[in-house]
Amino acid sequence: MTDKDIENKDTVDPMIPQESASEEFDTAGKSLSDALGISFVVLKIIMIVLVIAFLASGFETVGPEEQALVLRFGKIQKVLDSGPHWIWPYPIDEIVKVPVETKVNLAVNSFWYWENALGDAPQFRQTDPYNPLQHGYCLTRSSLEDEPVILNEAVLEEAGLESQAGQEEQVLDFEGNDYNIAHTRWQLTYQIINPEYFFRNIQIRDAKPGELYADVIKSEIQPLLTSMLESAVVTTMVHFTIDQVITIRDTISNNVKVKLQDELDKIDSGIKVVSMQITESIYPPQVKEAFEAS
Amino acid sequence: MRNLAITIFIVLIVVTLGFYLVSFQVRETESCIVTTFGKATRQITEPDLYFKWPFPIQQVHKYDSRMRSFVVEPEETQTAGGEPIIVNTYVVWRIAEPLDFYTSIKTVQSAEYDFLRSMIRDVQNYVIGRHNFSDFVNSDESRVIIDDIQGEMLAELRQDITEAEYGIEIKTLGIRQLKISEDISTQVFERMRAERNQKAVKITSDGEAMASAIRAEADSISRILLSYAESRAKEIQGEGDAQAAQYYALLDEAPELAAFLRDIEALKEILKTNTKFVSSTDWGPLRLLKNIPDIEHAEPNEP
Repeated sequence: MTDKDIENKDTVDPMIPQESASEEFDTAGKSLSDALGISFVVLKIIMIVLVIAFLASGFETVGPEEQALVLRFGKIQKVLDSGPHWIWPYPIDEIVKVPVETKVNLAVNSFWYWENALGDAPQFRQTDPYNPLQHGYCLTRSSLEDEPVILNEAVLEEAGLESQAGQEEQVLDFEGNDYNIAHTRWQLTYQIINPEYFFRNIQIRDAKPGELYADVIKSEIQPLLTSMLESAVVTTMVHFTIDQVITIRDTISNNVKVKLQDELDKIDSGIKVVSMQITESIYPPQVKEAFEAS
Repeated sequence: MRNLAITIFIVLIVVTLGFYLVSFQVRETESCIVTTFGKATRQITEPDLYFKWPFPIQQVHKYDSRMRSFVVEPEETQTAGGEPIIVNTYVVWRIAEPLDFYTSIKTVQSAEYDFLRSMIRDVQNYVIGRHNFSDFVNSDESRVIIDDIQGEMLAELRQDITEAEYGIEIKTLGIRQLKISEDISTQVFERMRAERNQKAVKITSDGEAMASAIRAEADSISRILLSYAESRAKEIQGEGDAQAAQYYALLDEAPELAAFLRDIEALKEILKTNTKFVSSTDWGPLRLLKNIPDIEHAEPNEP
């Protein structure tokens, strides 16, 4: 009996921890698998939520003054008008909103003499020249009616210069390239009417977070528009005389408008010139007295 | 079941990642080149989804292929007649062939400052050197061909760039400032003043001619009016005399009555206002006031 007991004891004793061990393993394994199961469920839920969020991020509203371009894999696919829309989110679709109703003003003062920050011009004496790096101006042609200048007594008297007795009449001959110098200030109002052309052709950097794309457009496009406007002005003004610049402003600004629109259309910019105006036009201060007398 | 879900999930992730590694998009505004082991092999200018071998086998370099403007600093150059002229030109350009661009120029900044600037300068000097100042501005408007000059510069520049194979397209070119040097500006002002003064003289002398013409006309008109007025006056006087003669005839018929009536008239005139008048009662019209018969006062009626 004792042998059996001892034997039984021997066999039973080590069994007890084994049983508890396997029991422990079982519970541990069970809770682990439970945890995994739960985490998988959670994971699945998260995945579904992510997918929904992904799809929901494609919901965009196009503002009342905008039109939007939808790019699918980079290619322009369609144009959206203002209102709510849904598109595939990046990287399938991309949306670019372009302001089309806003009319923007641009003032060009590069044809004016230098003024300081307060708008005061320096006092010009009659003999002051124009440093081309400091002052701006346009060249205008002389009119055909201007006969060659004859310095006779009457002219000298008018100019307040003394005529020396016995001085013969001098003919000042300015060959062919008679031109005058005039100052003008311009105001341009423009609008983007073709967002597709505009976006595809004109380089505008992407808006950084926190920036309005419309503002970025305004600042990036300014150098280009200014250059084109100036070129239209320069090439138009040489066709007119300085008297015309001061009197028939509307004709001249109309010519410039047509020319600028032409150039903009030639490069497929999608920009329309709404209006073009000369806000100020004047002769240089150096010749003020002579001009006011005539 | 769970294993299947896991497998699908993993496969999906792998496929998506793999997709990212071998595909790329070229945007409407971009163009790019694909380099294989660093060497440029392929250029893409059309927007779409494309495939490539993943890094480091193939790599993609993208360029913004839209138009941008570039302004060159103002330059003083000479016309055919040797006259100095200051021109400020701008160009609008874009990257058209990214492969050529990549092999020759590489960056936008380099393109503008190392290449375009000197090319534009050369074209400016060349084209302007072929024209006179009178082609830019002229009192005869039909001889102003500044638009053509711009067109010439554009054509020359385009040709130079095509020959150099830079992969750049010049969309347009323009002269945005046309100026003269400081010394010449003083001359221009002198001439402008002289022209204006001459105009002033002309206007004044024209004005005086008109003034004297007006004066002469006024004189002759006034003379005519005066003589007419005089003749008319004589006419009226004659008529008056004739009418007076009629009355004088009447007077002769009853001279005493005429004198009496005349005296009353004179009295009326004299005594119109409060005149204190002292004279002897024998004087002219006042005779009538002597010997006025007594007028009986009318008795007020008793109520």
